[in-house]
Amino acid sequence: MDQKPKPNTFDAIVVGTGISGGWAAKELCERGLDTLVLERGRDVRHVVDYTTAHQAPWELPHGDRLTAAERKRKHIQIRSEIVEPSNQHWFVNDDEHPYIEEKPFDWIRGYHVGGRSLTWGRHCYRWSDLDFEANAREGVGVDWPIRYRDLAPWYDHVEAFIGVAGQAEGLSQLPDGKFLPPMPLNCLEAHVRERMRERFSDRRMTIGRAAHLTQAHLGRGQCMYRNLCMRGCPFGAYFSSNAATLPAAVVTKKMTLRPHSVVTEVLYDDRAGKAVGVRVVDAETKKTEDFFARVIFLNASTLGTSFILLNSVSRRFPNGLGNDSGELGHNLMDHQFMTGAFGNFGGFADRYYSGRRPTSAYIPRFRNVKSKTSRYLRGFGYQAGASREDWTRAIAEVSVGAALKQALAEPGPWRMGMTAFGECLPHHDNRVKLDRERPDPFGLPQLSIAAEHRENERAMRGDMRDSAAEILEAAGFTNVETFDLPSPLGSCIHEMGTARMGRDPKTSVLNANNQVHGAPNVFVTDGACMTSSACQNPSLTYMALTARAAAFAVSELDKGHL
Amino acid sequence: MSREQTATGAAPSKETPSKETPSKDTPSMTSSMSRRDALGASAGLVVGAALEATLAGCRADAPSANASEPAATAAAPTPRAPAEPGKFTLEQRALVDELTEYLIPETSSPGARRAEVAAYIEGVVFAVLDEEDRQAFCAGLDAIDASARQKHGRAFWSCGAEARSKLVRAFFAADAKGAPSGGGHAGSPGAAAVAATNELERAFRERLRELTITGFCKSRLGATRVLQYDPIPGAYDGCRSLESVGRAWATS
Repeated sequence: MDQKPKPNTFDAIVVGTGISGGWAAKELCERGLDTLVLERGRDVRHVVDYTTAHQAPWELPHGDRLTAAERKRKHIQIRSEIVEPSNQHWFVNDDEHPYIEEKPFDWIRGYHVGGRSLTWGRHCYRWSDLDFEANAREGVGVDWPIRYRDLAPWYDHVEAFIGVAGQAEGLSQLPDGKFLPPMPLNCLEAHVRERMRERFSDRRMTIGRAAHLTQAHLGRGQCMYRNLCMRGCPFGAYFSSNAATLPAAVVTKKMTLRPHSVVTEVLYDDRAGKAVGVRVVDAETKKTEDFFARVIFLNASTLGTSFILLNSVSRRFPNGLGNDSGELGHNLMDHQFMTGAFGNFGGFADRYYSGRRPTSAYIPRFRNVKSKTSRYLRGFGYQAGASREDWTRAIAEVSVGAALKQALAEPGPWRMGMTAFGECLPHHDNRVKLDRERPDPFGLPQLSIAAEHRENERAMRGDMRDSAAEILEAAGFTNVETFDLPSPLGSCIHEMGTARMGRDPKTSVLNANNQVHGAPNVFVTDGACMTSSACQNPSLTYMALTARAAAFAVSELDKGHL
Repeated sequence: MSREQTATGAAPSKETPSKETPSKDTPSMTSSMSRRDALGASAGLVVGAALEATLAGCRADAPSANASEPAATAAAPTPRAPAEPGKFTLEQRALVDELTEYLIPETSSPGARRAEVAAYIEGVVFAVLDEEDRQAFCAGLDAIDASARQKHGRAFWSCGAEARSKLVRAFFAADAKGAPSGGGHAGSPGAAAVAATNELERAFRERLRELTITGFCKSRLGATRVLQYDPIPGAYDGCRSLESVGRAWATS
């Protein structure tokens, strides 16, 4: 590549080190670009910075319960109910990173190298043309500018690197991938799979396809079945930027990683008609510094990226970079969940398990697959898990003394729970904007969020709940109880959209290669780029889109197009 | 990106105490606004003036008093001292110790006392619980002490072992019968207040069970000597005979 003409100049800049930023870093570096990778939070070194990874329950404060003071510091993060002393360093302190909830929105995040790739749920599902064609078929939002065939080789590419344990099922709505050996279903889950096969021609239970290594893979160790993933894996046995993509970028010697670097805007050259770099506020010194490159990847997370674009104001783009369409910041989506069912199961009293499997079973979407089978559009999938009740069941009982002790030492009855993940349609009025009147502690505008689940989501929700109960009852469960708890946007932590891909610059922010319309050397490949949400966990698709766009960017650079 | 893990566990956890993370399956401790007021008012009805003399409360931020180790459970009469900030009074600590050991006694394996469950509970009560729940917990302890004064004319910790054991048994027996341990006056003008007291006592008992069981099962002795704990299983077998596994796992 070229000699550096001035300081702070690189071939490429990647903003963000989470699940898609790590992929952008790896792919751009491996393809020979001198790449600056900017992260707004602190560095997190693989293994050595997983400070709680080996702590036993009794070594954690208060049995791993947050103190009242800690809950106050993380008053929004704890809405997720996943924050504990053993992982709280992966979640922001909310008073330091405020945003405005015009309507309830849970923004659950961590600012550090690796981002949410350290804390993600690790489920990896391909999308199919059922998903990519849906908007066009139903006249919702805009059409995806790509189809499954465009992404399939990149799903292959990503899966081969990250390692996805899963079972091929031959389902059109959930294409099989390049899988490592699956983790097994337990006794009861296997029973449910068989009963479902007998009772429902359209529904199947399979083991979750998840980024866990069931065998050693590319220098990373196999899963030890501790189920302590959220603390960071000392064996590198689940995929994270820290364990996999960033080390691959380091090996190339092409990466410069700069933590504590808050990107405030993309610098746009009106005359050249492209971006020239980014502006950074150093989170520690508060000093502003500019960095320059020929190509820029925005992977700051859905809302982080929409913030940067909205805050990148130029003569050419007075309303935010790439916002000719007026769609920037709009069409925010998140899966709806927190509804499903539980049930008890009478059998298998003499069966138990050993090891702690870190993933659940999965029931792929079965609504509106081959034909329209419901009054609403799209569908939902379930994550499900069976286990024997543990010692916590004794809390609600009345036994005392030796009898109580005996109860603690015995596994309880089998029980299974199913939680639905439902598709959310893009809606223009689900949006974020900048509030410049109320600056945050950095003096930057705050994001102001107004989004809610709407008619189609509400119409789907009852079916998400009742079908779970139907499946459990058909499989012989007793005391089947449904649940339906509030699930505001953001609570599934699958927020996506706000800079959608599309075929027409008048109605979309990005083109089919994730280039910003009007700024072709700026690529957005995190959740912001999504045109619809499907009902599958989205991270695998972000990774595939990123790898695809990075290859495209390098070939365009080589052709002198950028 | 990460809700999956908690969303699909088969058995919802029953051990979350904080109001910020309500769960359908958490034993309800949420009699919203005036739990403390209700306790103060209605406890008076049941146990009379004795309460006033014993209510030491829970001091999260009081000026430091004489630091001293909690009394042994045999509870030699010691001069009453104000609680250190963030700690039970000696009397409260001794009472918690006795209650937890009653719930989970030493048998052929260690019980709550050896597992230092009272220390765990002290930490949770003062650092984890909200102010309202902390006060309710301490008031629950003090109500037992008041009951001792009513029945025996002396504080719980200065009663003999036999009397203490009877008081503790009566407190937990109420759980099974659904009746209060302090006795009630159904039908009297104060019936509503008595019912409120019973409800507070029930809620306190539930909290005590939750903290004792959780503290014990997460302690080294509880997790390894009564349940079993495997820090690094190395493999997963989803269907094997219970006999070959033995005791229940401490973590899931």
